[in-house]
Amino acid sequence: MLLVVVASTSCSRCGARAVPDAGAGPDRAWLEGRPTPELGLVSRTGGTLTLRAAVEPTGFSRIDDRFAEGTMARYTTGTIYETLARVDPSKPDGALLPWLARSWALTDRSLTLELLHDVGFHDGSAFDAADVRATVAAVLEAKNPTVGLRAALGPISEVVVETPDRVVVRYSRGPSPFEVRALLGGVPAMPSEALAGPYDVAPIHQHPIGTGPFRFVRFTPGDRLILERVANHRAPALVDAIHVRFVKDDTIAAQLWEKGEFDLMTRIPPAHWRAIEHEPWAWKNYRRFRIDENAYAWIGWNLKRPVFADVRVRRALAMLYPAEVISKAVELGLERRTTCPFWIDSDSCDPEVRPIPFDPARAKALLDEAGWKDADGDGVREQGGVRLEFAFLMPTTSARLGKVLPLFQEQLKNAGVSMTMEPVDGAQLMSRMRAHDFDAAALSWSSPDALSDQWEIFHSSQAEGGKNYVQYAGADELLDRIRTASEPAERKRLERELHRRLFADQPYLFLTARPALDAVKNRVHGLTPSLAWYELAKGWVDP
Amino acid sequence: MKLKLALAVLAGWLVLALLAEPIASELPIAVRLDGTTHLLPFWTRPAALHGQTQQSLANRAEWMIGTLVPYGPLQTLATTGVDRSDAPPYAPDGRHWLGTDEIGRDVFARLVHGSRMTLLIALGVVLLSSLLGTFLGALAGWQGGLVDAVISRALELASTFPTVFFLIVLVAALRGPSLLAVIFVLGTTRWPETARLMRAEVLRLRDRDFVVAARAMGASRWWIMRRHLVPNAIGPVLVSSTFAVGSAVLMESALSFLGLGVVPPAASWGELLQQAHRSLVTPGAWWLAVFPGLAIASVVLASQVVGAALEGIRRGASKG
Amino acid sequence: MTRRLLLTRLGWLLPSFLVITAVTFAVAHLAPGDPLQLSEDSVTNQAVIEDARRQLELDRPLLHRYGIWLGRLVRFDLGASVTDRRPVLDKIGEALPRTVVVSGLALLLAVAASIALGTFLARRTDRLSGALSASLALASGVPSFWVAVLLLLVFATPRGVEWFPLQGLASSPEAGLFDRLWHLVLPVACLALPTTAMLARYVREGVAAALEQDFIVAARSRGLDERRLLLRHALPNALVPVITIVGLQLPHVFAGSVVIERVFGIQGMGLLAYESIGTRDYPVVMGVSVVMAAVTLGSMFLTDLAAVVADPRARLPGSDR
Repeated sequence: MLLVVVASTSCSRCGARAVPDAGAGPDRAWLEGRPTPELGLVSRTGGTLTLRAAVEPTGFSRIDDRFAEGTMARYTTGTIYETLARVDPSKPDGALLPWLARSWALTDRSLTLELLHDVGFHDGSAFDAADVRATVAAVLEAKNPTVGLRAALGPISEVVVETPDRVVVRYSRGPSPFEVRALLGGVPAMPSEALAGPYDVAPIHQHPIGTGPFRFVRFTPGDRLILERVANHRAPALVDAIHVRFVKDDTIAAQLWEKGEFDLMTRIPPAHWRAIEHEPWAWKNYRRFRIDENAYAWIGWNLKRPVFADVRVRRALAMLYPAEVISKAVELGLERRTTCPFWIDSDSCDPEVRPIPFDPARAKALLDEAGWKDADGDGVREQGGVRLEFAFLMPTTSARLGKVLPLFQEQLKNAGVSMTMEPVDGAQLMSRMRAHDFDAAALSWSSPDALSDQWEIFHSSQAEGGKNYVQYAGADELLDRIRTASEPAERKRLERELHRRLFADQPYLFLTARPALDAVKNRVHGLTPSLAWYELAKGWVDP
Repeated sequence: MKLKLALAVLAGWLVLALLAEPIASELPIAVRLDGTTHLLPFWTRPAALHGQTQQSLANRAEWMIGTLVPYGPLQTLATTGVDRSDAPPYAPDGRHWLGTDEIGRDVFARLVHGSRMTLLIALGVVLLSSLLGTFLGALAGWQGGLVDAVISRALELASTFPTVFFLIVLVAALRGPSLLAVIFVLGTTRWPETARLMRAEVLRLRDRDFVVAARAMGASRWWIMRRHLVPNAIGPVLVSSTFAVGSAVLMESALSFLGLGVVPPAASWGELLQQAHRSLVTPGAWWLAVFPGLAIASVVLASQVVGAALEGIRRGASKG
Repeated sequence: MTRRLLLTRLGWLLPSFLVITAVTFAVAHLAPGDPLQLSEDSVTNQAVIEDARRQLELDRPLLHRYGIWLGRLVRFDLGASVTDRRPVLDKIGEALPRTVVVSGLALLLAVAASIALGTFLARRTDRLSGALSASLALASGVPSFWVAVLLLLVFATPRGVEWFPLQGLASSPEAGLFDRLWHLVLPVACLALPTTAMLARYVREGVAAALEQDFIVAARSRGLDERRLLLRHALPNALVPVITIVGLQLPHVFAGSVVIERVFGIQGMGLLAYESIGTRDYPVVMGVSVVMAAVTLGSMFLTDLAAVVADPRARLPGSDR
């Protein structure tokens, strides 16, 4: 199917470029963005790895809200800081692998961590249990702007240093698996001396000091971040330096990329991804990766609005979403349909649940059944004096929604549902959603980790001040049980039930899983894409 | 551009704006379906034809008189019956004479319907700015003194200060774009021209005999302004308004280009240019840039020519 | 224009400045939206948002905040951006030069081209000049951002010839002068076009009118060099409206054109204004408006001054308008 798409797109650009000679073209794996195994290669040290980042950081800290960058932290602080445990690239939603913590044991209310010996910070000082305690204390300190991580860590009552290699974390109640995971995978090792002074203006936020295989050298705003290999690291990297170049504008980034300025090009826009399928320089010099991240786009219905009260209406609206047309025209066939709030390839998603297919006839029947009929012949259904109409909050900066929404609106209109678009600028969107001052809106959730705690998004307690913008209250008990399920198998079973429940209740119309579209130069090896991103320390350059 | 051509262009767009539906609509001019004849269904909107398009009626109807362009401005590739495997925007071809936009909507249809939006906004802006300018200018001219000084100063500032910045701030303050917001915002930035002319006229006529006499008889200043001053000043105001049409069209398309103009999915020439800019490299949709730009340029130039001609007439008349 | 009148104008500067900034402040702050809630990545905890609001003094009453802002302004402290905590002066300091270079070059080019074109057209009435006049009339009516998009389509995309770059002002921060000049060609040409069209008309009228004057005709009949006549007598007359218009354009040179900057991807003042309004970055919005108010008022004053200097009739002391 993809090859057919390619063959026909090539003619829409006829006359602009010479058609590439048949036989010399990209293969199937390249077109799909699948990584192919690299066998029999001998790695070498040396060289520089240059990669493109779209968003520029304002600080370098993995614990601070002010500099929280979500998935961006990977390429700014991902190689500088190390955490106690790390995600397994081959099984991202499985158990964590030991890193700075050799092992750990969780009893009823305490987590005992055995740390690695002989680990040093970039400033020369040694890493030990006191540093772990200092970092956790900095996160937990109420005055510090570390609320995001603090909330994720849960009810830690104290952190005890038993020996320089052993730390015991005590909780006031049994921690949920998400809270343990946040501690193990989310808290970096920061030197206690750096955190000793006043937190807000601590230099470590702008000049990070960690234990990772790369050290921070210099950050030039508007240009790049330079990282340098730590020579005497216990697991040293192969390249000498990493340059992270910040190029916000996709068009400029594309031009620079074509000139060969990036060894690793990230966040390729879908249209460009498709366009380079005709460019010989692309398939001859680069490998492409299309990775499904733990990110999905959704449309949310404000459940307190009368028009959305009936689940049949919400199902009908889902049936009126023209998924195939949108996939062709807007997503260019690059995004997978999802119904699951978890990572699309995880075990927590029930494979039996299929997306609601586009079916206007059934949608109309369902709306009739729910009592919404067009009695006055004006083209819009009503019931009890209320018209079936709603306003869709649309950020003015989103070109994508500007294309998706008219397509959706057309189908809704044909079925007697009136949807108007309400453009708002960036500063209004979130404040209105938080205040529940909307009818329908579209957003996407993403997480750098394969596991995500749905409690924050779907629990009714999170409607005020939390992320439950749609005010859903249909799975509270299930979400609580997931949090306390200590055994992974039990948790996965409950999560599948959550998936089915959300599908039945339709508080969200789940749309697609957002992929990451990257490309790597052929002479760069060792970078294997996974949900845990690339291990830059394993990358090496063939000169 | 000659005057006749300019007037023809303006009249042409006016006609297109009024007759947008018979020219391009998803519903036909007339159709007989299931024993009932429907005339001009795009205006009457009969319930029997809800959700139907000319494409879907083609097989079912007994007979049908279609519109010139058988697509509506809101009809996307989902319902136009175009089944291509590549993604829009599609270049001009036999089905879409001026091509389509990013979601398959016919450009010709959107141009024609966009003219309605554009001219409506231009008219609203000109009306608002004329009213505001006439009022403030007359007030300044009549009162003199501090009032005049303040208004004159404001006038100067308003005409020199970069307006786009203020436009964006105003649109943001009005809770986002909407038709009324756009008209209001653009109208409040065009008043200095009219105000200046009005003020000059009032100053010129204020001390004439008939005005003095009217005041002596106890007439209120508003009555005098309405009866004597404003009718005399209509000439220059009309000239300025004609120029204002072109400028309003330019500003509206600039706002739409930024996404702050009309509310989607309404058709607007500026919005088409925004799409053109987005698809510059892939797929290089020149049809999205050329045609809307020609439309805008034609209206702006025509209004300038007509305005210049009116200016010439007025000058000739005042000399005599 | 007398000295007394000039002083009055000077006196109006400060109140005008205050009014502009106060109105901008009020409208910007009354606009709905929250700069602290920009993305779904940002922290959801209401307490954190409230805390940040307190820290940034965004919870005080409007008048109070205006007072604080004015107080800081007097010390040339424009505050720090709400979105990325960088000093506003830094952000303006980066954006302003980019805008000024592009618009300034465009203005210079426009003045030079219009003088050349205007004098050329004033003396000829053949078909070439007729065609040129018509093209100029056309050029004054086309929207500049349309020209910009068309230029890009033709000169910078694979569909046309790819002679010029598509976006930005430089290929990279270390780019040399030639690279930067190459990036400037299209934006400058685009911005210069409408101004050239407008100015050329004035120059042509001014020169044509001056050339018809009696003493010029007499001088020509006496055999004086045409070029000297032009330069010494005709041009200065035509330059007065040019100066006025250049003065009127100065604020736009500093403010930049949002649309053109958007089309060419130039991170200048226009784009800074647009983005900061969209994200309700009040300190930056106010910073930009201060710059624009200052330039507007300054240029208005300078234009008056220049008109006095250029017009010999106004030099007589005590003379009235």
